[in-house]
Amino acid sequence: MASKHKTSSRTGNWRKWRGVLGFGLTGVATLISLGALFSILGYLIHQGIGAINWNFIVREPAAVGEAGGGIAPSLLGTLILVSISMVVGIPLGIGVGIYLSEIAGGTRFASVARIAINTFIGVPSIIMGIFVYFILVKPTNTFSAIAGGLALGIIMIPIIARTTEDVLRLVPKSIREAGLAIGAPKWRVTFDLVLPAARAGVITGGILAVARVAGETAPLILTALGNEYYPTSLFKPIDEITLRILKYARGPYDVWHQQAYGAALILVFGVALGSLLLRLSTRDHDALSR
Amino acid sequence: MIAEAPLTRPREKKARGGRGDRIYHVLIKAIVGVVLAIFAGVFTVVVFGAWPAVKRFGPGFLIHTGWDPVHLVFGALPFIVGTILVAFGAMFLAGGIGLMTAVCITELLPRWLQGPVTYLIELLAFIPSVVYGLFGLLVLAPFLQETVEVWIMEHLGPHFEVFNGAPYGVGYMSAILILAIMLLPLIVTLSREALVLVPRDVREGGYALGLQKWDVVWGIIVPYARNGIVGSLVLALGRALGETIAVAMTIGGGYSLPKTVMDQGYTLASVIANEFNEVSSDMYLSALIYCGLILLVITVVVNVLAYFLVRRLSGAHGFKA
Amino acid sequence: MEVRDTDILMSDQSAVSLDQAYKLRVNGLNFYYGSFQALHDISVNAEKNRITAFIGPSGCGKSTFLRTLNRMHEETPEARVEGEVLLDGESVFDREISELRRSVGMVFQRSTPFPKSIFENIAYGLRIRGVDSSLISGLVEQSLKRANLWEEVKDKLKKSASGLSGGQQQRLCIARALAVNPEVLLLDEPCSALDPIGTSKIEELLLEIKESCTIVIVTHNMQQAARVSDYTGFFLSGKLIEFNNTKSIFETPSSKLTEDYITGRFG
Repeated sequence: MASKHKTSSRTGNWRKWRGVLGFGLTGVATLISLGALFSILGYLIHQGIGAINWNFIVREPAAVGEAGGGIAPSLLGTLILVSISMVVGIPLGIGVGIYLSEIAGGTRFASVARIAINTFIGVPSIIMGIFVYFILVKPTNTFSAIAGGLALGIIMIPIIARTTEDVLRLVPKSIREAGLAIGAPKWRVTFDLVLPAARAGVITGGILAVARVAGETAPLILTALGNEYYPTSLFKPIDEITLRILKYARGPYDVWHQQAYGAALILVFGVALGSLLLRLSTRDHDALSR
Repeated sequence: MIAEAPLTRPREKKARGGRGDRIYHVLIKAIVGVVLAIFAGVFTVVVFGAWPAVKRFGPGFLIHTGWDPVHLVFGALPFIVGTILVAFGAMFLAGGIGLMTAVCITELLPRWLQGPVTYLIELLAFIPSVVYGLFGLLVLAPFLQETVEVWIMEHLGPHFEVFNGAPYGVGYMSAILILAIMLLPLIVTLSREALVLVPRDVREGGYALGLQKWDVVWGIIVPYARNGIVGSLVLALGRALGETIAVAMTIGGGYSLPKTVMDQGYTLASVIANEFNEVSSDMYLSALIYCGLILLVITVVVNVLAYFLVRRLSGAHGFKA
Repeated sequence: MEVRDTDILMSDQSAVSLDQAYKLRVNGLNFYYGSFQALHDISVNAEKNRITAFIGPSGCGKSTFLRTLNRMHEETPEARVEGEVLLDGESVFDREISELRRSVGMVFQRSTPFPKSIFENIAYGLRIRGVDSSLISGLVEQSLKRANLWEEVKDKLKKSASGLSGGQQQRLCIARALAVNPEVLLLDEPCSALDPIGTSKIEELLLEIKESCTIVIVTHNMQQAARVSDYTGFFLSGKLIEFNNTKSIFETPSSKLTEDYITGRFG
């Protein structure tokens, strides 16, 4: 009797310690995850903040290896490339999202289109760079802003299409039926009733897609190329902030490294701030869709 | 009643609604057509670009080693091996840490901490690849070079061939670590969602049996959520296979098969990014695009798998539309 | 037993006179979801300026039937219809669909305010109809008054419609349907989500608007059918078991099935 009692309390102890050990390990894992975030952000701020000043934002790059100079052409180029990508990606992406949610329903063609969209979200961005290189860069014999923007825009399409489909499907079917029942044609039901009800979600999806392409580098190597000057034409190579970071990170000079951190800091906070502002600006309209 | 038959024909036409709806349908379908044409175009163009190399090297390209732009001898085996090593290495690392983090968030942390911690880890997803590459190249690689790799070389190198390398800093080890950090938010977010979806009565059933919390978590909750967890790993694998610039910046570059964890090398994606602007001949370019074609096929297969896996999982929880 | 005019229908002349008496006429209606037949050979008429109610257990096909009257079923893939539905003697399948739905308004079980303000909820239907914008605010007020809602919302027309109570939302939906002056109003269990007060307000409203409108209502609430309707039909398993004036249905049902249902022996 006594010995039996002993063994059961020993296994009880072992189980208790196993729990402590197990949960302890999960705690360590969480600290590692958070540590990765804080060390990257911390290092970025620590190294980059010193590089950021007025000149850094408004000046052209200095001569190789010299101190001073800025990344103004890259910032401007980034804005141009992202704008082109939005012109390509937003209408096409939202259009496909509307098709999948409002028109196609459960047809076979719709499920093929849906698989294609989901597959293309996972296709590496550099492949889009290869595509645009062959259809635009090679025929025109020049890298260009248009080519870079087009590559980024193609990357956006499936991302926006999927989020648009998802949020449109969340709009209750009853709203569509009520619209049709008062004699509204389908296109008005979609644009006047369904899209406004899903507005916040569509915008959030758009922000995510823009944030994603604003950080893309690989396809731009094959399309926009990058250079040292202010953009003068959409049909010439154009610089972009991640290309600048890439170049400076790989260079041999400490000045470049510091400027790479500075540019990375601007990029990360630009993306974060932009998303935050847009999200806040859509918040009050959100209430209607609840 | 007798006039039924002739009435059926105009009925079909009018049922389609007014002119606005016809324009709307045509417009939306045209957009879908354009997008699908772009997708088809991507495949076609990549095949087209790779064609000269495909014709010249055939399937042997996949199993040969050697990358000589001067004599135009190319084989992609080292890059394929590199891609698989880096992607799976990062996926296992991030999978282990990410799953444990997700368990910690949902099962251990108090409710008021769950939101903030999840949010912070999701922030990692907002950092662009090139910034990870920057951190890996300028911080992680030198750190590894001076500490971990020296220790490995001195203490493990003499005993195990796989650790018997020179500490370069940049190389497989750096690339795997950086990629693992990049995959963390994806795995944590999706695994956490799967864990949160485990119904309350499943949990309570475990406690009702008198099990310890840890046994409920590992014996009941995690297995119950395994579809979601596996789905997150497969999606992470898809991401990892295609990640380009962060890997290109940290893997160092090399054309031979890796022998040790500290070797330098290339993945399919990173070799294109790093070599593209160095291309000296059409055949060289075509060989790079051939690498792209292999990458495209691999990622499409993985993503189609992930799609069906995730769809089956979401269907099982009843929120499939 | 069933009121069937098939023998009279054979002659064209009497068909014309039927069109004058009946706003809606349904002849030999069969309805299929894919290979499943949801309605079997339904023939029934709805008299002008009267309330016609359809009762029956859930899944009996009464809502499906209602949805064919303004061709709402066409929004469901796989749905297929055979037979005739005539509005003023003209097949609804030959009408332009948006125009048909303006003549035949519909109110649903769940209130469905648009994600817009109270005012815009009603104005929207007028705008798509191309009503001159100077007339709109007058028509909005008039419709809200017809739906007995004006006094409750006149001070918050610019507020979101989702802030209204369930009963108010449902009356708003009725006002929205009335704004475009429909000839027929279809109601699909309009009170099933409402409390008794909300329900009685809607019932009063229906009795008022039948002066200008033909009403067809589907309900699982037999007392409601008895209270408001002039004619009642009983559906079971996709068949119209019995159709007659409401008094006869509830007091002297001719079918055993109807009697069992009304006396609560099943369903």
